[in-house]
Amino acid sequence: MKNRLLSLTFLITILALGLSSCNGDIFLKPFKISPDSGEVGPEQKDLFIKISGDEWSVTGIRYYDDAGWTVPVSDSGVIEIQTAFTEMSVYRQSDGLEIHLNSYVGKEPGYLSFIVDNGYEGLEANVSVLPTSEYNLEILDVSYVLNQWSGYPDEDLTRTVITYSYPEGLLEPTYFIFSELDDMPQLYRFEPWDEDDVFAARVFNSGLSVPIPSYGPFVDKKYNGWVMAGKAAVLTTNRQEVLTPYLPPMPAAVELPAGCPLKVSLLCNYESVALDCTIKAVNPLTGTTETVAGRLRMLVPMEFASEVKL
Amino acid sequence: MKKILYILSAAMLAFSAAASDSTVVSHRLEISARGAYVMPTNRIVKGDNRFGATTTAAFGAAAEYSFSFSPKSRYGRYYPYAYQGIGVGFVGFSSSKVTGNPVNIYVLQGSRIANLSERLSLDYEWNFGISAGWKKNRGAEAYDYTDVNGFGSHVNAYIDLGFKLNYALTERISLTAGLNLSHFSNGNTDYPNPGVNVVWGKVGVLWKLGDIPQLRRPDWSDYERHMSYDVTVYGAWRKNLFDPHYSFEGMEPELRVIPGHFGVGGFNFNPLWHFNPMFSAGASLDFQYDESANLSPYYLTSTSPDNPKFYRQPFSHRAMVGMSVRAELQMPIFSVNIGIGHSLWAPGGDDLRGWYQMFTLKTFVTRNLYLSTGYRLVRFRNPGNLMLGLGWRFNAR
Repeated sequence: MKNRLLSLTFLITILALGLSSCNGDIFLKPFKISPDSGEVGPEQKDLFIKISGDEWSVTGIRYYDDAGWTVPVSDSGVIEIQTAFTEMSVYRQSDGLEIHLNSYVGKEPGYLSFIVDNGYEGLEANVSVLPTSEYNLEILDVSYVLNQWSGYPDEDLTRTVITYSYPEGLLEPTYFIFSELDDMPQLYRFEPWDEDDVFAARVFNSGLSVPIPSYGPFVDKKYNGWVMAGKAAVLTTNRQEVLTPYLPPMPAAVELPAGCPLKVSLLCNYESVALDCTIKAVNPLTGTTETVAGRLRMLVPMEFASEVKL
Repeated sequence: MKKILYILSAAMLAFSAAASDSTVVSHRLEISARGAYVMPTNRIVKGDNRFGATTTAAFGAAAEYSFSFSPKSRYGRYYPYAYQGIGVGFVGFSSSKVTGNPVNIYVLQGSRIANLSERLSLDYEWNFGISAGWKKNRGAEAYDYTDVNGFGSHVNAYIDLGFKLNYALTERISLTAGLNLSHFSNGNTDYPNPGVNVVWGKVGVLWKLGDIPQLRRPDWSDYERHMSYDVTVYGAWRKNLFDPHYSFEGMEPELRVIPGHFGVGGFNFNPLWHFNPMFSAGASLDFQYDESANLSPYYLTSTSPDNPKFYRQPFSHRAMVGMSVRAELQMPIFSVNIGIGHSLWAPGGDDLRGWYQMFTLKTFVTRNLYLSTGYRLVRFRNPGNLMLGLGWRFNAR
C-alpha cells in the first residue's frame, strides 16, 4: 500500500512539473508593486517598495519639495535626489526599490513619484517625504542694484490683454478708446549665482516674503527707473506671478471702419530683465549671518499697443 | 500521434492481460458497409468554410476482429455474450473538401441486449479510437469559420455507439444491420474543433470462428457486492480561447484563440459500490488543474490579440475541486464511467466553476491497474479537455 501511494505521489509530481512548463512563452510573472504609496520622515527614514515581475525598470521618477520639481537621474542602480532641502537615495534591488532619506528641511511635505515599467505596462508609486528637522531662516536684509540691470531681448513676449469683437460690423465709423487698467501680472523668479551653494539655494527657495522693486511709474512713455514701491514677493526659484500697478500708458484711440466684421485688441509688450540682488540671512544651523548673491529675473509690462483685424 | 500510440498500446496491454486471465475460445470477424447522414451540428459542415462546401453524407466500410471468453472463465461466466476486439474502417465524406476522408482504428466491445427469437438478437457495440486523415486547417484564423479550410487536427478521437440486429443464417454466419451514432473530435487539443456527429445505417456479415459457446445466462452466483476505490491521475494538452475585450467595460466579448497549447491535469478519488459484475456507482472527489483557465482577466491589453501575453494567474484560478456522481458499466477489460459533477472550490472564475461532465473509458491492464482515457465537458455543452491517465483500483475483486 505504501509503495502504491508513493508511486501515485511520484506520478502526480511528474505531471505537475510537466504541466507547469507548458506554453510558458505567453506568460509573464505577475507585475505588482507593494506598497504603491508610503511615507518617509523623521520616524522612518527607510522604505522598501517591493516589485515583482519580469525585467522591470524605473522609467519615470520625479521629486517635488520646497525647491520645486526635480527629475533625478539614475546612475549604476542608485538614484540620488539632492535639492536645496532634500538629500535622499533610491537603490534598485532585484526585488524592489529601497528608499533612504538622509534629511529634508523643507516646510511642506515633499513628494516622490515614480513609474515602474515591465515593457507592457507601468505602475506608479508615490512617497510622501516629511521634514526631518525644523529649519527656520531669518532674512535680515534684501538689496537690489536699481541703476543697472540686464535685459533678455530674446525672451520678450507680447500678450493679448483683451479683444473686442464686432462680428456684424459697426453701423458707422468710430474711435475706440481702451479703458484704463488697474494692474497687470508680472512674472518673476530668483536665481542664486552659485547653484552649488546649499545655503543660497535654501534662502532663494525659502518662501519668505521680501520686498521687490517696481518699474515705473510711467510718464508719457518715458522711462522713470526702478523704485522700491512697497511691493513684496516670496523667495522662490520657480516662476511666480505678482501684480504691478505701474503700467505704461494706454494706446491712443483707434479709428474703426463701419460695415465689416472686425476685432480690436489691446496688446502688452513684456520685456525680460534681471536685477542683481544680495540677501543677508541668519543660517539656523550655525547661527551666523551670511550674505548670498543672485538676481531677480522678471517679465515686466513695458508698452501697450492696439491692433485691429478686419 | 501521441494519442494513437496511447490508445493502441492500451488495447494491446489489455488484451494480452486478458489472455492470461482466461481462455479465449470464440473469435469473430465482421465486415460492414455504412451509409450516413452528417448531422448539421456545426457551422463548418453546414458550409461556413473557405469553399462554401456543405458536408451532408458519408459512406464507409469497416473490418473488425473480436473474441469472447470461455464459459469456464470468470469473464465468461459473468459476461457470456460480451466480445471485444479491434477494428479498422474507412470514411468517405460528401463533400470531403473540408473534412478529408479519414481512416478509423479503434477498440470495440459489444454484448447482447435481448434474444428476440431463436435466430434473432438485439446487440449493442461501442467503438473508441482514433480517426486519422482529416484535413487540417492551414493559415486561416481558427475563430473565423468563414475562412477555415480544415479542422484543427489531422487526427481526431472517434467514438461510436451502435445498436444492431443480429440474424443467424447458420451456426457460424450471421447478418447484422443497425444504427450507429459517431462523434469525431480532437478533445480541444487544437482549433477549430466543432465536433462532427454522424448517424450511420449499417449492414454487415459476421463469421464466428473457433469454439461456439452455447446460449447461457450470466452466472453471478459467486459474486459478492463490494466497495472499490479508484484513484485516477490524468493529464493532457488543450487549446483555449480568451476575450481581449474583457477589461473594457461596455465592449462586446470577442473570443480569440490563444497561441500554443496548455497543460491540463488532475486526479479523481472515486469510491464505487459494485451492485453486480456489470454495474457500479458512487461519488468522486475531483481535482483539476488547467493552465489556461480564466485567462481573460490577465490579458495584457498593450499586446496584440494575435500575439497576446498574459500575467500568470494565481494557482487558485487554475485549479478546482469538485464532487461528481459516477455510474460505471463494467465489462471484460473495459469499463465505461460516466460522471456529472459540480465544483466545490473554484475561486478563479467561470472556466472551472459550475457543472461538468466526464466520460471515461478504463482499460484494465491488470485487475487493479487501468489506463484511463476520458473527455470532460463543461456545463453540458462547452468543450473541455481530454483526460489521459493511469489509475489504480483498490479492493478490486
